[in-house]
Amino acid sequence: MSAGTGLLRRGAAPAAGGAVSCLNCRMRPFCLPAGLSDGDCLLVEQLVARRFTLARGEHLYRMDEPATGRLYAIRLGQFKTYQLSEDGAQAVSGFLGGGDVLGVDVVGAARQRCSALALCDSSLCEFSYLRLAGASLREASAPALLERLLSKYVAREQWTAMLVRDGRASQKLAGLLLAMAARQRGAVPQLQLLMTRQDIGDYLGMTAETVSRLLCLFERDGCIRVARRFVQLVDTAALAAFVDGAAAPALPP
Amino acid sequence: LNDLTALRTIWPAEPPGLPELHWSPAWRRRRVPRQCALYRVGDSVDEALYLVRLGGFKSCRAEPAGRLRIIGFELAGDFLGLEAIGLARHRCAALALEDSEVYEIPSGELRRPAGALHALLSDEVARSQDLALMLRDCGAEQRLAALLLNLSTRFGALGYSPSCFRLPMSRQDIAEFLGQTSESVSRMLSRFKAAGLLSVDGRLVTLLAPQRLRCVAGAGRAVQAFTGAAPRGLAGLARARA
Repeated sequence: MSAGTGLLRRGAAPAAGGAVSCLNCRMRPFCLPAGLSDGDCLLVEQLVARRFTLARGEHLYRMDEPATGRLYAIRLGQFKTYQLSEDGAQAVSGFLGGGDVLGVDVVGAARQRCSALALCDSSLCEFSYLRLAGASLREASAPALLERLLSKYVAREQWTAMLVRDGRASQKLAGLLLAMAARQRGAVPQLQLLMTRQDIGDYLGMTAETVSRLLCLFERDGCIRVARRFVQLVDTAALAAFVDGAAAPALPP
Repeated sequence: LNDLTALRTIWPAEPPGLPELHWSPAWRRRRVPRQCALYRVGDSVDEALYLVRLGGFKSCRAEPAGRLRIIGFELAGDFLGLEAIGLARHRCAALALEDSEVYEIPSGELRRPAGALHALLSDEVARSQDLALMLRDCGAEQRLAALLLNLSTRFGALGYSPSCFRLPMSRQDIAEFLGQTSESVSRMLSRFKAAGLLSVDGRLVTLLAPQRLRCVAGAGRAVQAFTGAAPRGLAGLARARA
């Protein structure tokens, strides 16, 4: 599937035992019902075919499997998508987190073009594309909803292309961290990077060592604080100075 | 919704593949002179998509400092505006590389047959990702070879010669798209020429050894996807022209 920068922890799980509803889901502003009225949001919720969880290390789908016309909204968790080359090498194509939707790259396609792997225990809401596309909402239009969703991922992938094409390694990594943070709401963005340094390096086109070295550099300069897989953006302005306009793509939508 | 019912009967057992938009008289032809914009960053987004009829465009995204950076070239049969659906204002610009013409397709027209626009958008997600992977994984010469093969595929699909074509864009544009300097693009073209891969005269390129150029581009998945990507709107274009 797709996309740059979902990664993150956007808040904790809903209260234990509480029924899951799209209405009060923390991902609502980022997910399929983004921008919908409560009434339409409930109608979308009725289209959820099932809610399920995947354990860390499990695949949601694998490359070259038949595509089944499903869209999966991530309610909680993180995924990485990747392709395998003929020689078995792994090419990381995206990181996705809460509010992101998996499957947007194979609507109408015969086969999966990526594998999607859960980086932690994750909760998903599964939709049938056909039911969604044919749904009638009260105020909004279901086809238009899907068009907006898909268009957003087109823009995101274009952003990714610019990110990996332009600039030095430090600019790319700073750009990625800032983009992840921009998609979070909260005073001091804290990113939970569940992917390995190797994955990040793969995604940006650099070595794992470079990723580690740059994270140290950013930390030494007071831009970030790193504690294992948590990265706290202490000084986003200073981090932005690394990006420095020269080759920095605009933040993703 | 009849279309959707039809779609349901064949999908997912047999996906619709790439349904083409239905041409209608509501498609409006619009001219865009060379170096003019079809839309600019900040323009309000019309309820329309654009299908390039003649000529070519470069699409650009604005970086924070405001400078435009090229993210794609759209030639006849390609769509423009796919990244802006639902936005109030454009975040990209589409600039004509030469005197060009587009069909402006109102959004209502885009939903026939049902699923066509979704499939188109989804395909564009995949293509943009393939481009990102190609740019990330390829060295400078590989990128240039891949772009030349991509153009060759597109011209071939349009019924032109796949081995002898005129580059619609400048060296500078190519360089920016590939993340290189224009000097290095010129140097690489000279090297390709010296190696007998192609001849180049101004913007006129003749591929003399496409197979060897393919070897230069490499056999990676993303490279294959990028070099083999034909324009998506060809059938719609053919119907519109008929």
